[in-house]
Formats: sequence, C-alpha cells, structure tokens
Amino acid sequence: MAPFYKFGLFGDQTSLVIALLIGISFGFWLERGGFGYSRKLAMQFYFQDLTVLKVMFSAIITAMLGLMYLTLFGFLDISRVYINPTYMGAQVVGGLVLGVGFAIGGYCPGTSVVGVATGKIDAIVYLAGAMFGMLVFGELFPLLKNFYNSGFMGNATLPEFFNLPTGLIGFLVVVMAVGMFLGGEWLERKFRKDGV
Amino acid sequence: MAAISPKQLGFGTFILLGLILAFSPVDRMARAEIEVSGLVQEIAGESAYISPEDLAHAIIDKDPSVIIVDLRSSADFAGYSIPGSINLPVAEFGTDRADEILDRDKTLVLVSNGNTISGQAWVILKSQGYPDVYILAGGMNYWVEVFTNPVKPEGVYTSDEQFRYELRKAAAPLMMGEQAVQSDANTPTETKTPAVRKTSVKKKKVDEGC
Repeated sequence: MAPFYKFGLFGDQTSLVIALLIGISFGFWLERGGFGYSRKLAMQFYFQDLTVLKVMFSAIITAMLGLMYLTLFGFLDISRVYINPTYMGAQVVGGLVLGVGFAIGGYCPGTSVVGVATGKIDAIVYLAGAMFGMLVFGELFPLLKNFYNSGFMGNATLPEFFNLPTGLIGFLVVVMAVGMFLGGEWLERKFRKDGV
Repeated sequence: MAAISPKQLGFGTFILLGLILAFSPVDRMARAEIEVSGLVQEIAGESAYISPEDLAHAIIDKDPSVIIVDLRSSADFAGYSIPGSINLPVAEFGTDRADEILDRDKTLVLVSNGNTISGQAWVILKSQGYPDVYILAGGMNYWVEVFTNPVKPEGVYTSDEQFRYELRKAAAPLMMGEQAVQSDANTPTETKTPAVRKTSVKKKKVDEGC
C-alpha cells in the first residue's frame, strides 16, 4: 500500500536515490516540453503561447485523478501523504512576487535550473539572482518572521475548506481545467502574432 | 461520421473520470484503516515499547522531537511525573487540547501506571494514523522501580546489562528529583543534573522532514 516510504518499504537512503531519479526525469521532460526556453515561458503572460498553462493543468488533473482513484480503490492511504501547510497572507504575496519575477525573467525556479543545465546564460543569471534573494531573505528572516507566519490555516485542502465531498471537488477541478484549456486556446488565437 | 480528435478524446476522458469521482465515496476510503495484523506484530515484537533507559536518554538529551504524554489522572501527575512530561488523561482524548499535544510529526511516548491504559491509547492513536507512538515499557511502576533502586547485575552479565545499571544509577537523581524535592518540602532546592557519559546507544531515528 502506498505511500511506500511511509509504510517502510524502503529507507531514507533509498528514498534519496529515488528522489534523484524522479528529479532527473522531471528536468528531462521539462526540457523536452520546451520549458527550458525563457521566451516560450514568458509568452504566456502575453497570451500568445499558453503551453505552460495547458501542460501544468494537464499534469495537475492527471495527478489528482490518479491520487483519488488510488485512494478509492484502497491502494493509497491519502492521510499519510504530505500536504504543504497554508499560510494565506504570506503565500498570496509570495505568489505575486513569483509571478512578477516569472514575467520579467522568463523562468520559474524549476525551469531556471533546466535552463542552466542546457547552458542558457539568462538562466544562469536568473538562478544566481534567486540564490542571492534566498540569502537576503535568510538574513532578513527575523524581521519577516511575523509576516512569514501570517494567515496560517494548517494543512488546508479544498474539500475541507468548502466542506464538499472530495470526489465532487475533483470533478469541479477537472471542469475548471478544461475551461482554462479552452480559454487559453481562445486567447492564443486572439493574441498570437504570426512569425513568433 | 466525424472523427474524434485527440483533444476531444482527452477532454472526454478527463471529464468522464471526474464525473465518476463526483459520485464516488473517496472520503470514506480515505479514512486510515487500522491494519490489525501490523499492530499485532508491533506489540508482539515489542517494537511498540520504549525502555525506561532509552526514554531517560531522550530526556537527558533534551530531544525536542520526543513528547512524553502522561495518561494518568492529574492528581497522580501532580504527585510525581517524568521530567518534561505532559499530563493528558485518556478521558481528554478527542478534545482540542489533546489534538494540540498529540503532534503527528513528533515521537509520542505514552505513560500510564502499567502497560494497559497506555497500550489502549497506543491502539487508538495508531488506528488514527499516528506514525511514531511508543508505550513506556512497564509504565510508571517500572520506571520508579528502575530509577529508585537500580539492581546491580549479578553473576554473569553482559556489558549491556552493566551499562544499563550504570545509566540507571547516574540518571536516578535527575529522573526522581522532583519527588525528592516534594518530600523535602521546606527546602525546594534545584536538583543537580548528573553528568551522564554518553556511550554508543543506538540513536533514535530522526523524524522525516519534507
């Protein structure tokens, strides 16, 4: 029964090896999807190429459906899957900062590493900037601590927040994703310039 | 008849799968179900228990990942308690205070007079999916016995037995200090921490962090 690590099917060291393999394949497929190319990534903010949005939503609903069906058939104990805690205040601001950086730099943290791997200079600069930002954040942390912990909601999930059945939320997310997909294509047709 | 494009096929599959989910009892299946065979094995193999010596080590090391939960009544707790332990009578299970104390990310050590109450609490917590829960072997009775009157191993003894004896003797003032202070009511002096030599005792597994 999954999650395998939590049920002790492999130990700490094996889990690191598995994490490395998953990480390498993640990077490989990002590169193959064209996500190591900053112009393609930045293009989505001008509604000209929404590949990123479409790929992300496809991945999200594939993973979501997978987790829900594995739970439904009893292969997965979802209560043992790690959930990131929600800090609403800090995460809203952090998300906006990330979005601005994404639009300006053309990378998100993961894809910048992919760009570095293929030797893109802008990705190297971007990653160096990210590292510097981490240093500044770390040094300023005592000042930012209260803000960092603002809006703590615990391990919040949508079904708990809206008090709806998990399966129904799953269906609504699928509908939303399909809507985003179709909306994205509509935007692409409207804004796409020839020869870009 | 018009052919179905891959995109329509993809959307159709996702929506169909989502629609099935909307009418499925995902939440009911998500309840962590108690795997009786696993729990039985843990009890039989004694991996559910922690010895007084190992617990004493965690206390001396001030291990922040270990929470000692005293399940006895608050009157008993006031009488004597293990240093650093938190009182949570079993009757309070399920309250907000209990949820606050019983941290899933920590190692919980359950203490009662013997093994019975803590064993029952262990089963409850395990069935709720708490990953790291241990019963103090022998409970408070054995704990007090071990640390008030350590018995020197006689005849043929192993180095482990000898080490345990040394540890019991060395840790006794710290572990039983509170009681000594209470019986000696007029001078509430602070008990001195004895220097405990650290020998190769198998270290507790570090809690996983994501």
